[in-house]
Amino acid sequence: MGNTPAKEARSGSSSFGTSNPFARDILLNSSEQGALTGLSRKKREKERERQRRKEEHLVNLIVDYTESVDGGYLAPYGNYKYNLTYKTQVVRDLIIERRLAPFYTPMEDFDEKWTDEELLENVKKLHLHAQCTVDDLLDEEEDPDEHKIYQSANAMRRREKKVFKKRLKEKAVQLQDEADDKFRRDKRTQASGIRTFAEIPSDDLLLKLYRGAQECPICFLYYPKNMNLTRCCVQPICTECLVQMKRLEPHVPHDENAGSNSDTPAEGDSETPSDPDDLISEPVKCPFCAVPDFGVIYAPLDFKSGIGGVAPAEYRDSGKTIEEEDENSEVELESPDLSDTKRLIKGQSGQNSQSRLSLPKGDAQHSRSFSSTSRRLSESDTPVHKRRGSLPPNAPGVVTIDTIRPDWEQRLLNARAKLARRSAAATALHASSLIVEGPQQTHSMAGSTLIADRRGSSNMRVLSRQEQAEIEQKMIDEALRLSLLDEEERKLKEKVKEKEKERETEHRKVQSDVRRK
Amino acid sequence: MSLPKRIIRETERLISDPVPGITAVPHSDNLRYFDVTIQGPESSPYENGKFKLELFLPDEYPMVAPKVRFLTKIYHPNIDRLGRICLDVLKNNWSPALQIRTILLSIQALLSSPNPDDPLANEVAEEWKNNNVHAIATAKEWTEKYAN
Repeated sequence: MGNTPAKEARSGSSSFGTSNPFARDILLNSSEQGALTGLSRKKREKERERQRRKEEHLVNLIVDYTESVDGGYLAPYGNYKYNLTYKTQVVRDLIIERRLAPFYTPMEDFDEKWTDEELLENVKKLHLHAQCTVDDLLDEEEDPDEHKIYQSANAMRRREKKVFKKRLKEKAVQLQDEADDKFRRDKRTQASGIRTFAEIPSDDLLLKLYRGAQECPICFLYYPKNMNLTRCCVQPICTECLVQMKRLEPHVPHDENAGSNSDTPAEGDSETPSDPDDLISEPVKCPFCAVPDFGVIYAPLDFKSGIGGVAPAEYRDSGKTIEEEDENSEVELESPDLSDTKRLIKGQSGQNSQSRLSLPKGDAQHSRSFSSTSRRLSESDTPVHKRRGSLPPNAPGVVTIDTIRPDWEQRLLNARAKLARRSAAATALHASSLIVEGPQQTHSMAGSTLIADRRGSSNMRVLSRQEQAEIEQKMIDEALRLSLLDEEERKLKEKVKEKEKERETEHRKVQSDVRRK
Repeated sequence: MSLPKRIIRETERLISDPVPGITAVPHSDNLRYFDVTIQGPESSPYENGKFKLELFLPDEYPMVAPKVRFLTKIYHPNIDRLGRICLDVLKNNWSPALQIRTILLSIQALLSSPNPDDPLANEVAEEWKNNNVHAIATAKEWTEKYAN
């Protein structure tokens, strides 16, 4: 497979000013998408829409160095190999709004004693994304249906879905490889002095970020110290670990006394609850202090680079003199007399953030166009990691797991509907086994009394009028119940859709906010 | 697939700074699979026993709990015949902030304080509640017999 149009469009525009970071194109052309056998037109459209969303999700997970926010990126590095199921668009927007730390490239090792040169050398060695091998793609188990001679339409569809998924994954690896290559190539080009790239972070930016890097207590990797902090117990957590957190699958409440031995035989009974409404889904608890409604808060840096700020290449630490100046540099306003003192106190960043030149342009933009929430955060110029009390989950600025995974309601609903269908099917099966006997019986009675007599002696018996009425009543009740369930499902779906729309509007707002600059 | 930094770091720390009474050594051919021993806690029926366990870190670790199982036969209301352990932090109360170290300490603590009201081995739990003296004697006997 050669370059896709999507790739061309993305790699063609290397400068931030001209590229549109939100341009997301279809990855696979229709011939690659599979024939979608045996589906009506409407269903096919729905299926295409589903595929389109999957593609968008995947493209959103590609780390592209030209899409940066304050020296980090909009997609995770890839510490976790398994499926990333969070809402990528929501997280990208939150990062652009500076309400969540960007996905910084992690460092496996870090030493406080490194000199600037050593630190830079180590930071510059980092890849945009963890290396993906073909092995990582071969994680899918074999489908037993594939060995059947006769294949049902459903089996065909499942296989198509699988092929689609596999192609998508291969494409993802390819795109990420290309993005990585481009990053390396551009860095080499720049190093050889042929030309400069606005999105390659300046040394100052790298030093400012990675000096005093902090270990994430969950993945044990080192990140710039502007990490997300838990709202409850003020513990740091990197964004990549944060997006891994999710609610447990819908389940029946765990009996506090009976414990939570979910995969022991003892719980087998409670795993099949009769009432779908018994199923619950609980908000994620804080991994550190187990307080429910886990959420984080993020205090952005005192400058902005990348989307909504200065080009990463143009970031200058106010204490340093500028050796080479770009013609459109916006950070030349620094006072040279500061530079010496700055050099001296360098390394103890954080304390002296006030004296640092805070890129007037970026700040002005910031306060103009970002929500009051993030403004409130950035206005407090106090060092980021100062101790503060815990915040309620609905406090402004708090990002909860449900914010980045808003589909939990839908999932709960689906699980309930599935259970309802299953129990309805069982009831129907049970009821129909009674009913079927009815007509057969009458038929045989009309035929010959002899047979009827013989039948009568077996356990097939004539249903009394009252019994028939009872069964009829049961069927009606069941039908009513099902239609009520359908109605409930419809309402919830509508609600979910509405939320989806709200998010969409919010997303557009963020986009236009950023574009306006 | 290379081993995540976290697993490497945890393994290093388990070796450089071991927990008293607990050892955990990864297999050389599978660094996610650990041979574990836990010393029976003092003033418990398991005192002086050395219990072997196996511990496996699934791909999703640390987002899901490690899988731990007793290999040594043990008479305990929360551990069944197959060595499976009923412990909340191994199931729904797992948190990615917990580690191999903390999980093994929790298991050691479970030996000190069995919880027969939340049983996994029902018969053992019944005995524990109804005939405590006899149950503890059996636990001691099993410890002497199997955990050496």
